[in-house]
Amino acid sequence: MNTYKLVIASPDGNLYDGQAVSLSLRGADGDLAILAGHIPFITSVKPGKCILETEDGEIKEGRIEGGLLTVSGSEVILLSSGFSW
Amino acid sequence: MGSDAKQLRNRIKSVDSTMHLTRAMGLVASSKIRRATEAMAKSRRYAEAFSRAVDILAASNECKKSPYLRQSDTARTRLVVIAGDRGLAGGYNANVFRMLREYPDASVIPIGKKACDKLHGKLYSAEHFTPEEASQLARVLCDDFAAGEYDRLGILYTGYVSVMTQETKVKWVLPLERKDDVKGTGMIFEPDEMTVLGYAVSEYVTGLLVAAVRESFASEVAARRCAMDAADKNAQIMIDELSLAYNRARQGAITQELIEIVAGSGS
Repeated sequence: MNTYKLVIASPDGNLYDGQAVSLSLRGADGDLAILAGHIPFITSVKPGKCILETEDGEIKEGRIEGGLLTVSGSEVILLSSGFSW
Repeated sequence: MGSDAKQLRNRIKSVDSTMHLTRAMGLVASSKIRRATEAMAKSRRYAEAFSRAVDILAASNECKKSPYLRQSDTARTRLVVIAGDRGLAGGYNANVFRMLREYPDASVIPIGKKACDKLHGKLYSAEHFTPEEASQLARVLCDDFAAGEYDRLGILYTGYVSVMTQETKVKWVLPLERKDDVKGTGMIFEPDEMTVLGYAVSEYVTGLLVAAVRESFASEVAARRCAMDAADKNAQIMIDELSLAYNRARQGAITQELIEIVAGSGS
């Protein structure tokens, strides 16, 4: 399974920093999921659930209060002022 | 024993109790240093990650017309000034206010009790500054900037270099700068650049405020520890000198008494 580098950052530190298979959340225009090889992309994130599948197949579910998702060639950064697993 | 020795003894006692105080304050400060530097490192990473995202946004062509990139000739400055909640931290607060004097025309938003007292602003604590307060403040700052009420926004804070060194500086936040080496082309924006930028900027300012306040607080406790260490050393030197003078005075008085007794028995 292809993976990509994901960083989830909030003012309380990095909540996730590692390889991920997929990340699903609610973007400005609706639900979306990021897989490896996604084109460069920026969106604001609406409050809601955030589901992450990690490298070893573990599914983690978190709540996000809103934030900004940046997908660039090398890494995916999810910035949120309020995030909890 | 003369009154001289008694006076010296009182001085020694008072210096000793001051030393207890400075030592306790130094211990409190050093226990806070670790927590403060950890919090600082976390929020600094967040702010750095955010500034990368904002750089990409600012570089995209659509955002050229954004009010946040407005460059203007007049420089009505707004400064967020971050000082400490308490004194007795060496030159920490004084350095902040000295640097503030370089911007006499700036309108000022103080954070930290010392700054709020001096500059008459709404009270924000530097030690217990919450992300909610930061986000409210950031929204006001961004709206005012977009409305053209001022032309540049800076944060005056104290950068933490090491426990021994702190550096007072100004970080300019708005207007956003376009960096030539960052390419924003080929990005897809959802829903569109302006909306994303508008949202990102207020979050970005929030992140920077939190990071700056936490870094300043780490600097404050580090500065206080150094100041208290120095005070402790000085008090010890003072006690040593006073004890020497006291012993001399005591011995002098005994010698004097002996001479008087010997002279009395001789006559």
